[in-house]
Amino acid sequence: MAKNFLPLTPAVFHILVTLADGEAHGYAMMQEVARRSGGTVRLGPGTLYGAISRLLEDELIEESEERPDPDMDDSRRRYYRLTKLGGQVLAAETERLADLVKAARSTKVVRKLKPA
Amino acid sequence: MAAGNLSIQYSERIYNALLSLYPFQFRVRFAPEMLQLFRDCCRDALEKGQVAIVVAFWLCVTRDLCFSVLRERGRELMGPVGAEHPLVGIVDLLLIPSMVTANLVALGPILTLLIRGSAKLPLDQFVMTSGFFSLAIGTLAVVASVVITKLRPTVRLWVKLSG
Repeated sequence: MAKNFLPLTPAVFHILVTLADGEAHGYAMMQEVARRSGGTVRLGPGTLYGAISRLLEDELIEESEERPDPDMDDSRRRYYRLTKLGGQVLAAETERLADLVKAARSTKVVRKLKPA
Repeated sequence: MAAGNLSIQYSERIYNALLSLYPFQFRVRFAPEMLQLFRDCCRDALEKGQVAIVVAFWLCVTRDLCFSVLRERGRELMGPVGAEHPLVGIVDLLLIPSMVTANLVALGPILTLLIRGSAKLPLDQFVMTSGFFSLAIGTLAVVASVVITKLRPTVRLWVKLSG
């Protein structure tokens, strides 16, 4: 079932990784994705909410009713969290990427080269 | 600081207007959150205090907007055909001109032939009479299609509420 969703786009993968650590709202997701990717993946509002829309439709994430910090919270924000299926898809994609990296590392060219 | 707040306000207004480019359903669900996210990002860019950063931010937002609007519009178009599908809107839009054209081409002359008979009528009178019928039926068709188009959302709402 989870493998039907693979491969994930980089934006979707990063969102799922961010939500694996706990629920978050859009701005927090955007900041966290930029931080985790070292600034290489920057999600604009349209890309982020387009991906969230698809993830909600596929039931990989869901909207959370709870507010992590009521004092600091802005009532207009909506929080999202990973579903069980979302977790399975994230695990499957991580495994797929790990296999790919393993296969790439086993080649002569990659073994000889070092990242610039 | 006041200038910063003012530029955030103006930026927000522009972005809010641009959000109308997204499909209706998407806009209803996500526009408030997107606007909030834009506000936060805008504040971040202004806090860095450089015009170049704000300009770069707007360039990124515009690029993101162009790609995501196309993607969401495409998704909407490829989705299942329902009452909210854009094709239904196109059909609504084409309904009036197509009915008018069909009338002018076919119904006017046909009615003239039926009512006045074919052989007895000179050509100029035939054209005048069929033109009159075309205009009359065309006007009725326009009124009918406007009423249908206007009533459609009410009927949908009524069906939704009663269902």
